[in-house]
Amino acid sequence: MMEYIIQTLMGAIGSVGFAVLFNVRGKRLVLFFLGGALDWAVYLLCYHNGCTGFVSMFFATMTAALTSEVLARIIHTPVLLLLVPMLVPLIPGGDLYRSMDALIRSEKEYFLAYGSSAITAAGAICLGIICITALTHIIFSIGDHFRKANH
Amino acid sequence: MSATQIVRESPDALLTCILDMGEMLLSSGAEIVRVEDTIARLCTAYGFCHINVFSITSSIVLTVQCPDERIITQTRRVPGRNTNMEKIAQVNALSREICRAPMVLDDFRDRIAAIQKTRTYSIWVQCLCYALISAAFSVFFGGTAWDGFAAALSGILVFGIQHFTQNLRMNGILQSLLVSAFTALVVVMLVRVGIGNAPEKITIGNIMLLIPGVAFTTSLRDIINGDTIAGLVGLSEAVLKAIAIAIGFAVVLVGIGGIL
Repeated sequence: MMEYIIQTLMGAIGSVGFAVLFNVRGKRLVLFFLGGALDWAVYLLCYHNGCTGFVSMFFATMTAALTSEVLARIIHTPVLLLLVPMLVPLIPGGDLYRSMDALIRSEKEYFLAYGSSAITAAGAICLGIICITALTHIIFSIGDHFRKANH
Repeated sequence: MSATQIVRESPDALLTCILDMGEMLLSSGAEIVRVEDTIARLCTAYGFCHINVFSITSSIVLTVQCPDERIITQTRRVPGRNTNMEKIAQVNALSREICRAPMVLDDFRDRIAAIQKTRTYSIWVQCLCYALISAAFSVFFGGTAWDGFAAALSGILVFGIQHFTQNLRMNGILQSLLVSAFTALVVVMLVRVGIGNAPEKITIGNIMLLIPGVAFTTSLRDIINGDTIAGLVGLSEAVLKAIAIAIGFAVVLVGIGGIL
């Protein structure tokens, strides 16, 4: 349990670090700590309750995307600015490296295993983002529609 | 001055400004959809019709028809990408402002110049961040506190070499290869000296700094959004860079690691 807490904290610090490198400024940096911790915690929670890697990644991304959609409307910033650094702990950099490492050592099984895991993770992240973007778009257009209807 | 008057006076200069906006978005790491959408909105706001904008990772092509039925085309080559969220936010805000009320050309130019001058964090803060990120991901992937410390030290070195090679205007892939080889060398030495125990746990922290993980994910998003060419260009760039990094580390860790 302790190692998961440490892992989550470290993922969150990584999020904040990348947010600084991506030139995000001001008090918003605190949000990346919380957001990064939240999405990795969701990932661990799903993964250790029987979900596959793809599904866990999908739910974790949905959480991050939903958090940034809501926060973006509260503090008036583009969603992308909040979302990209928050997703840093989920981004399959490690797997991408390991698969390429296996490729140049000509260990075919590891290359395929890590490579497919990197693409699966990136795919799950994309799908998660797209689902939430589409969902909020639909919700807001319905909201606009009713507002116009009332006038 | 109304939007149609601005367009009638100097459509070419206006188009250049609009492409500047697109270029800033693209080079700051925005998705293709956002780049094309912003350019199209700006053109519509100024009263151009038949807007055809096509963008890939490294280029933007824009053809529009002026109100007087003249057709103008401009293209822009966009060299490197460097994620800068603050710039994206500012371009976004300016584009919204213009869509509400188109501004005269001189104001538009001034505002673009102001965004281009957006300050970045100082070198020391960035260096500190490299150390912090390396240490965090070294522990994240199962390293001990000592491994984290070693990763922080080699993270500072990664920043130094990257900064140095950037000034040499080196090819991106060669640069990745060189940086990762140097880093691996230092990690092996640090472990020899007794700081940190597991070289692979230390290097993974440094690798997270170098690996184009965000670019990899963004390209996949571009593909799913329907911008297949841009996505494939980005994807192959990311994979090539990852291979270069892997070669850099492997050569040193396997070759010299065995001898020492």
